[in-house]
Amino acid sequence: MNLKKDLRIKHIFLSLLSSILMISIVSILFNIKTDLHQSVGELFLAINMETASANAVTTVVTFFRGLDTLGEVTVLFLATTGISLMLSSAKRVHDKVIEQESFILNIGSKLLLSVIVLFGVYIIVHGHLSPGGGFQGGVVIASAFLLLFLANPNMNLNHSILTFGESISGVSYVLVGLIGLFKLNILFGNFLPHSISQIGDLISGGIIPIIYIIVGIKVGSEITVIIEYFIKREAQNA
Amino acid sequence: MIGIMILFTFISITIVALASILAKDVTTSVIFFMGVGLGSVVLFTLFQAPDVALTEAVIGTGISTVVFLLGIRHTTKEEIKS
Repeated sequence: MNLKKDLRIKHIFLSLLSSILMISIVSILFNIKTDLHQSVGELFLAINMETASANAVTTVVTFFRGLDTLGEVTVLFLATTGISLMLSSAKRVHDKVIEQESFILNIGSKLLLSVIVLFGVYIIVHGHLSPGGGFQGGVVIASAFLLLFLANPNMNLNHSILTFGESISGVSYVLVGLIGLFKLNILFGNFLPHSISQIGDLISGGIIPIIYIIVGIKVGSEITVIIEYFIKREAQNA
Repeated sequence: MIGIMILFTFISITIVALASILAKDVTTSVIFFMGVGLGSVVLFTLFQAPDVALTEAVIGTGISTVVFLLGIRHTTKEEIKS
């Protein structure tokens, strides 16, 4: 009986606590003041004009916080290495289990592949003009390959091209940062010409679009490899 | 107006998250979890963060659901054999 009483009191207490939290969150949501004065965001927006990139978020990700982006890319690389190491020793899913693929699915997925890859490339290349960038566009390209795998399970990808693209983009990302360090004494310094008069053009912003294209190739190939391993390999102790 | 929309999205995300926790089947839970990602895409768009919304739409709703479902497929196969 005593235990039951305790439980009930605990439940009442917990629901009271959660309702107080809910009320405080809602009151915060309704009283948001868009006061950006004397904050880091204000400073970033003020300096953003110098880099001639129309999208301020892209400038923060690739220029002001370039080292953090390098860390993110390294984390993704380590995750892909771990998954490949874990699943490469597992045996492949038997091909005879998979039935003959459907004709309509096959043709439809190949038609959609070009459209989705084009959209991903658009997001990557326009990363310094509109919302989006290397990470988002790379994952969009990987999802196009996921569609191809789901429609046609017997398909094989050329792993040497994926590995080459992944490693060459990783090396060139570090090289771009080091060139900026040697020329301007800033890691990921913007050493290419970037005049403010070109803001809004496709070719503007110096190294910012180059870094996003490199990140797009790297993320796209890595996520494709992860999905390919998950679909094609069986669990190790199955 | 935007405050009411934010509140509505907030409440619907909470309901879908509760449904994801209370679901008896793992696959159903993953699909409800995708609904949580969908709600947060709307929330990020209302808070004027289109970059984060795009990332959440692609990764949180697309790729992570597929990876969860493939993980379920791998583990259930193992259970049937043993």
